[in-house]
Amino acid sequence: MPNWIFYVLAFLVYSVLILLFGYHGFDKTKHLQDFYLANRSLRTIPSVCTFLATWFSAASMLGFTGNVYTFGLSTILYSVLAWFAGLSIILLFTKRLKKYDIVTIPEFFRYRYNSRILQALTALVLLGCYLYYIAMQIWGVGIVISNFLDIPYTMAILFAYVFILYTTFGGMYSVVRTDSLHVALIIIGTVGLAWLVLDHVGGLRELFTQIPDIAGVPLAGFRETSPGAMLDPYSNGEFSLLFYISTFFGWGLGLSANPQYSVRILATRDERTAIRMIFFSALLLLLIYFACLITGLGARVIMPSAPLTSPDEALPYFAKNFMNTIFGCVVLISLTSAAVSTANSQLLIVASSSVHDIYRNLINPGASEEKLLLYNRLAIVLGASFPLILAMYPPMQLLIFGSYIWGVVAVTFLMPLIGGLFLNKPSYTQAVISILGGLLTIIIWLTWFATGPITTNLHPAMPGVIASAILYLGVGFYQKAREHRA
Amino acid sequence: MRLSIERKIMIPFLLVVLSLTVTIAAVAYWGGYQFYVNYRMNEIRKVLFKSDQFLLNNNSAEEVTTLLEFLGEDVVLLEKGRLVRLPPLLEPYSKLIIDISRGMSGRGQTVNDTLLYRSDSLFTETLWLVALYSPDEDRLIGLPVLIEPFPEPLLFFQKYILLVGLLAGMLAVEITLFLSHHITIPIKKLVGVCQELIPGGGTYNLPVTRNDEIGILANSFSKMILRIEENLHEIKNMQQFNDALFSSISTGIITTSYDGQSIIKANPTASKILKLSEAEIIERWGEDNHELLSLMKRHCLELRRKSGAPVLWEHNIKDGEENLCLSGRTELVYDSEGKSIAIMLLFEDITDKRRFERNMERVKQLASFGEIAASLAHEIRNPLAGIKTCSQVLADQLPSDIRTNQLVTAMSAEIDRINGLIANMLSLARPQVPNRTGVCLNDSLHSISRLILRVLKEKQLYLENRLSAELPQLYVDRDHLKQILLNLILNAIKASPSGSTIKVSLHSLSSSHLSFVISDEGKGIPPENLNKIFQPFFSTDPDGSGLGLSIVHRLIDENCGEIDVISETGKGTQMIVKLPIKTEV
Repeated sequence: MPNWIFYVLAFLVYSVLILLFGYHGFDKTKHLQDFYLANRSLRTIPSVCTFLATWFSAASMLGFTGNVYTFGLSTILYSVLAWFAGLSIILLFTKRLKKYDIVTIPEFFRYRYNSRILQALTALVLLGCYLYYIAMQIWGVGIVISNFLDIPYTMAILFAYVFILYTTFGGMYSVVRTDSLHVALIIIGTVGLAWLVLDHVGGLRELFTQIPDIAGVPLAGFRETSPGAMLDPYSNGEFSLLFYISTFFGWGLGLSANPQYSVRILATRDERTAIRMIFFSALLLLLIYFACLITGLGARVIMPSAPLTSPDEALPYFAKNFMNTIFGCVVLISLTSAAVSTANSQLLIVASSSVHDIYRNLINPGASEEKLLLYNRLAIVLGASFPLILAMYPPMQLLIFGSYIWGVVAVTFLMPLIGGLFLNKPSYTQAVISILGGLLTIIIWLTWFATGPITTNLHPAMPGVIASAILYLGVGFYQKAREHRA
Repeated sequence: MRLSIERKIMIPFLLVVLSLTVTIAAVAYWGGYQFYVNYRMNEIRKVLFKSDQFLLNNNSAEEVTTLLEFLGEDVVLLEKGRLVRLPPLLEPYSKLIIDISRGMSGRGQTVNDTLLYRSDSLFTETLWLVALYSPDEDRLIGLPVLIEPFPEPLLFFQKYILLVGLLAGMLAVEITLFLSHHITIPIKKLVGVCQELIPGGGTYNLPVTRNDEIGILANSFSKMILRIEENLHEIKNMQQFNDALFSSISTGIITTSYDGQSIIKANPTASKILKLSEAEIIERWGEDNHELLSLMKRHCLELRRKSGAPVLWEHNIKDGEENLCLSGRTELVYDSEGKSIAIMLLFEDITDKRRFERNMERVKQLASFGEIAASLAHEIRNPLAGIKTCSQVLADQLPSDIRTNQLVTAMSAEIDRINGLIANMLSLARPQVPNRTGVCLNDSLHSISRLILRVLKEKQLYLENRLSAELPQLYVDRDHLKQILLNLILNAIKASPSGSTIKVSLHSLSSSHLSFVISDEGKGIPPENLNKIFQPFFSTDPDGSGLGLSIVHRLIDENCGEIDVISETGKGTQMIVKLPIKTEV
């Protein structure tokens, strides 16, 4: 029997499970609080599931494993380390954030900076970022489904679209329920893959015996890996310390300012649950990343070189061509789970930003909850359809694009969020100038250095965040000094 | 498990989509399968025709071998009834193949498809032999065709149908969920409101902004609930008003079942009059050992006998040491259609009213007597003074002997007695404005006891003062009080047998009045005389004037007091005097 039949069967089972799990939210959603935050009722296990499932995206699984395959252990330094640093920052402001009776993070800005415009402005930034990121998730999962099921890419992304739409339609309750399923599939998938790879290689000891000797061009158009580079922190000169630091600004700080995590803090039932959610999620993420690391390194041992142009393609290619059908099924389902679970959380933010932060905030403050719920669902349909169209024209390499988006989130949200939480009287002016300054810096950086004559591998978020911080603090001091003189 | 309306809509819809998908897939598969089988057969037929053509022109052994190699290992060759080649797959069917060639031999060159094998399993596997017979050479060339139940090309095609079905199913669920959720929102709200209304007292909010039938239904329901709530509010108010009326009315009300056998309700006034709680009234209804309840039940039964004509009644019964006088009415309660549904007893305590009426009667009697007495006294006193003067003159003029002295003395005594009688009559007739001041009851009793000491001794009676030394002062005329005490005690002395005790004791004390009792152990007053004892000149004593108690009543009345009598024949009499006490200013 051909392999694709097993993939189709695995896919069918996944679809049925999603159908069963995703239905739940419709029953329970009665108000906006239910739709956005599951009525702030999440206990530890569901909150850990949704936090983890949102965190671990297709970009994480494909990108991290593919980059480990291509560059070795150095991948940890510019990705996982930066992400965990961001997670530590989230932990710092969890207690303070939990005290606010808000539904979205842009609403927090309105509350702290007393500005409806700021709420709408930040919501617009979120819309741009998340719509693009959802497109990336659809694209990622589309490639995987298309490859495994041997069906056209357009049909594959339609599946991603329907899954994302279905799991988001019931609001946060639906997302949390399907995220619980996704987390189980992700953990089983990543750990299972690592196990199968280790079994193939001959164990962990054998893997680390062979890894230092890996040499040659991993992917088409990539630099040749010199012996020992797979375990070198800088991948034998591929990366620099400055690159790592700059990546922290994009991925680490971008993650800490990312509303998709802040919203999950708001959705927990109390402060203690929120702290536990972050702590247990970090533990499970360590396990998952370790499993992905083993898979990436093992794949390089089994398949030293691949006729591919992007690290993101390495894992599906490896699964399909070098491993058995079960391995392929696990990769297919885990990747789909990772992509859908991240995208549905982001789609919920797209809905809340457009309906709560823009429509209700600026256009119709007196709209009934029933009407707003309907608009939210329409926003979900539109919010998933636009990325679907975008995914027809796939963007560049997944992970790098993701880092740009989180860089934009970092320059927009980090300073106003931290200032709003920790300063006594943050001003609207300093927040707006900081956001606009940060955005301008990142745009200029990308225009000049990414496409201009001067090139650098510094992450554009670094100058953006620095500019935004200087502007935020500078304007704040200036205003205080003026007040003092007056 | 309760199926929500959303699921009830979704499940059939989903089943329809899924069954349609499965049907389309099955039909497509069946069609594809047929096409696939025909296609393969045709392909083989074509090959066989070409092979036959080739053999017709080239019959050398080498060419035949070349052809057989071209056709592959599975080819069957039968020449002149002898099997030249038979692939292992067809070995079990060798006899059948020879039979086929015999069957075809009479019909010229022909192609025949014969089913050699069909599996019994659900997914049927079939083995065909496609054979071409050439009569000139008596040669049969055949190729087996094994059709698997799930040929891969078909499955590959089916994959799309399956995936499209899956997509359609998910979209169907999604759309159904959304539509059914949207349709059922007002219904769910209605259910929510109904559930809130069941325990009562819940508030509800049913904002529906839809114009379709469900929206209209929800709005109508909302209006209906508002109307019901307004009516309920009105009914509640009315009920509260009725309850308040029922509770606060000074008439005792008891409602019983239509047959009068059980009590429905009794108001607090009824409880107060009967000195029973509502529960006790219900429990003891009709008991023989409760005189009033027993009487009331009898009235209910009497009402039934009288076909509903109201029954008026009045009862004077003994309630402990006091009399209780109740006046009531028993009548039927009718519903809006005029049908009797219950019996109602309305009654009130008229003890005080009756006592007041009696007092008023006495006062009237005394007033009319006073008028007569005053005119009589005036007419009698003057001639009497003349008679007395004449008797004294006569006494001086008559010889002073014993007999004469006795007569004169007797005459004078009788004239004095008539004078005394007239003085009493005048004191009864003339209203005297009392000079009310604080008076100690004990002191007054003590002062009169000296006057009656001798009489008590003569009759060997004992006067026992049981009054506390710390009683509040009475606010009465000092002389009036003495007169009241003297008259009452003298009456008691007259009634008491020798050796008995007359007691003066406290009856009750309130913030405004003090009641004391003068009781004797005498022969008592017959019940028929009880109402007459305060009437002037009523006396059972042949030597008595019958004015003592009338004077007492008059004096008590003038001092804003009350007098009551409890007497039992053969056991004694209690005179209860209630007088105001002096309040501190």
